[in-house]
Amino acid sequence: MAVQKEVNSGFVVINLSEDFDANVVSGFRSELEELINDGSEKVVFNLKNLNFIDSTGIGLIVYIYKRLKAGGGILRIAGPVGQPAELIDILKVDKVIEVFPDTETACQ
Amino acid sequence: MSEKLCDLELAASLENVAAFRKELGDAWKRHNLPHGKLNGLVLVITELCNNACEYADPTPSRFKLVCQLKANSLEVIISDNGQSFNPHDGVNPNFWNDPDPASFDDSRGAGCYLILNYFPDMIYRPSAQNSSGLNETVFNIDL
Repeated sequence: MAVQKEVNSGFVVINLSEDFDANVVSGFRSELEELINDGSEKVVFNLKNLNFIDSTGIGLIVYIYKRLKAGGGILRIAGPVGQPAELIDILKVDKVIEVFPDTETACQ
Repeated sequence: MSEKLCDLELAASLENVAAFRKELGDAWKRHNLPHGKLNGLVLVITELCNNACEYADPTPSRFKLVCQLKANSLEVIISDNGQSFNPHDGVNPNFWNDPDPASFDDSRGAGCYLILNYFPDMIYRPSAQNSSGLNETVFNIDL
């Protein structure tokens, strides 16, 4: 899966779809590292079309959040439904990362 | 009386874990089982296979998933032929008591925590205790 991204109100929106599991993450990490190294400071992970995420996928999102935060940046999550929303709730990810119902509100 | 929901054996690789999820999801729909129970099941199967692929030494060459429908429950047995690893031994007790995403790092997720969060009564039988010679993780879902 390639990183599908767009820019909205100064935020880089990363659109995840289908599955974001350990297999996908292994090919995704370097692209996200590059995004941060290139100077992106405001990032939204759009999970609206994501069907499934595992602990490795969540771990990568949290890792990117910590990288951005260390440099004064922002990471937000938008639109989780179904299994991804359930996992975010169980792991209390919303204790540290702001979760918004959609990208429009996340990019404000 | 019982009926097999699925019986699938695949080469052990991260690429194949999605095939388990698909097989199970399709069988779940065919049998019109309660959708709310499926999320936890596919996640736990994924985490068990991830652990076997990423941390067992030696890593397994095969995964096997068998789901057996019983009167009011589903028995799930997932097995592999790699190094034994009991998820009960992999949970950080502090994480178990109070999951804190701020303590996650990029390489270690929360797989064992999630497995036991969904199925705390899960039974793990290492290969040395099985006539099959495989490590088996067994749990039941009330339907």
